[in-house]
Amino acid sequence: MGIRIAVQPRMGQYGKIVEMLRCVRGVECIADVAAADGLITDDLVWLKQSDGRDQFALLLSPFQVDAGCLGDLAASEKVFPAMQARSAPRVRQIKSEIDAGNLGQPGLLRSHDWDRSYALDDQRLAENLDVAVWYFDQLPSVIYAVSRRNYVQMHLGFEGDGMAILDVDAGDSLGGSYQSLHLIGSRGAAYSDDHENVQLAIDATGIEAVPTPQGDAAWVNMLRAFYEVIRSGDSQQSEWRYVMEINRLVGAVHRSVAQQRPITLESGNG
Amino acid sequence: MDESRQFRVLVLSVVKHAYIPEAVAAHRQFELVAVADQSGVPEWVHTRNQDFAERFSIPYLSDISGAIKKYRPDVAVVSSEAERHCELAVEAAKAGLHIIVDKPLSNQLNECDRLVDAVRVADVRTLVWNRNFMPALQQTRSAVHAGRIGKLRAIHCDFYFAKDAGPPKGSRSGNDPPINWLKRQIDAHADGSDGAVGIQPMGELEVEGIYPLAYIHVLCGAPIKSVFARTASHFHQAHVDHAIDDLATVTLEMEGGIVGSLCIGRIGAASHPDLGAIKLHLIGTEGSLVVHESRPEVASFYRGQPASEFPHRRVADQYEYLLMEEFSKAIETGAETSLDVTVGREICRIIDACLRSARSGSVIQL
Repeated sequence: MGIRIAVQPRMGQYGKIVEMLRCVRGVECIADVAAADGLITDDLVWLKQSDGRDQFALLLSPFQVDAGCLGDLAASEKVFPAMQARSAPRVRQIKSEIDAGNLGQPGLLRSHDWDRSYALDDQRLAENLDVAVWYFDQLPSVIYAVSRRNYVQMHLGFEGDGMAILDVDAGDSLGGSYQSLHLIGSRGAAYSDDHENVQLAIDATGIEAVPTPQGDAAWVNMLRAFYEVIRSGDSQQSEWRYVMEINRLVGAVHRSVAQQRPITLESGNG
Repeated sequence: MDESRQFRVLVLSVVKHAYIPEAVAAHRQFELVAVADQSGVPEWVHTRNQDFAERFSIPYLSDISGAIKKYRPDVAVVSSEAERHCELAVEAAKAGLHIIVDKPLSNQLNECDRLVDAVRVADVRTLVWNRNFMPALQQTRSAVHAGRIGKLRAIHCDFYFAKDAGPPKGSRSGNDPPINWLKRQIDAHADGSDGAVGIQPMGELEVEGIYPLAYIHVLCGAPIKSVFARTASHFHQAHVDHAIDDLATVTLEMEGGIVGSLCIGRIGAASHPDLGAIKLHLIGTEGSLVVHESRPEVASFYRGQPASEFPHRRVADQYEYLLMEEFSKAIETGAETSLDVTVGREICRIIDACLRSARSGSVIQL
């Protein structure tokens, strides 16, 4: 018998998550929350009230959890924050190149995250910051951010040589999503750019660049990671402390914008 | 019959980028008449000047005023070490010559000011060599100026040269002396990675920053109000030894609320199969543009292909010709070029502010 996972009824993207769970070998998707080994939800209140509160749980949008609840979650050994951004295949591929030592010491990360359909909120800022911290394997020591309507640019400096510029656009003029990410290391570089992943559709009116679908591999990666957590029974306490650190960075972004100056972060305290 | 005006050109030192006087010579309105330099320059400078002169079958004189008097040039082309750019260009301006000068204009703002003043007094036209007429840049400029993306909100430029610069960082043992900057640059001449040739070590922002900042200038036009920069010596021992940058990021804020950024680096030959990733991202109120500076290009792969050869070759690229067209028209009409010494000076000021920001960790207001 496989690992049994239940998805919170009526939650956003319920159908998609159920469908994606079918892609994870060893997982049985069930409706009975109480009988499940693991739960998937985006609602901490539901999770606390659910019959299965002693089970493993994957909490979506973890960077939106109220600060007062994060302490409880940090003590929890079974609630797992969903790291959606780092589950994207392109993001994971670059991370694997870093981990393999192919790129050497990370030096510069550049990211463009342009998408109108995804709110420019703290969750989205946190996801961008999470990728940078994941790659550099440390928290930044300084953040300078500028903001305009539906637009934020974050400039990070890390101890040693590292630096990053991440911009997030949710402007009205975006008719589709565009993602670009590259990392320059001391031995090599990795480039991921939707610009390179388009096909051309040609008709009497002209030529259109059509993005090649990348499917829902990010979801599958995230659900597979959750499956591994349940299977291995690993504690996830440190993950919530990490979420708290990223939230502090988001706070530093807001302070930098408000005060129009770089924010120096000491010992990761922001 | 082409009756356009002909210009006699004095090559005023050619120790760095011979492709500049070569591009000048390739234009139908310009004729190289001599090479000249100061008499007191080192022997390797004389040798390079002499070699170029012989290649074009023109004389070389180690006497600038004598060369001007003898050959009566209309134009001077300066491609010396960066620290002599302004000095030579000022001498040319004082002689009433129009000037083409290699980048960077200078690593000293007061030298830029001296040149701007001399040019104004002499009322001559100037061109700081640049890449603004690359096909992709022209296409982008047309799209922006035609209102294709509405009002510009943000502009970002990546400008990486995938070139090495001597031994990698960390390769010097404790007892070894620091790398001699000038000697390394002289040695690098063979592969063209000597853009920073000179006595004074210069980082990538100073050497190449003019290119992306010129892009931003022609596409955006709005003055830069503030900069915040991070720099690092991330790749090359020569840059570590002299505490200069080979990697940098800059946040720019411009008038009209436009946000910008620049990523720049000499990132090593292993980091890209061609010259390097050079891209533009523009966000407007009505749309966005994502642009490869290198396009159009043709890819070639073959057995035995040298590792140093770029498999993607740029094609249909007439930027050098178009620069010279702009320059000749500027001389004939009295108009300014799109990157004259005044704009070049402003870019040097921005770069100076970036370096001060990186050192201080603060935002520098311009």
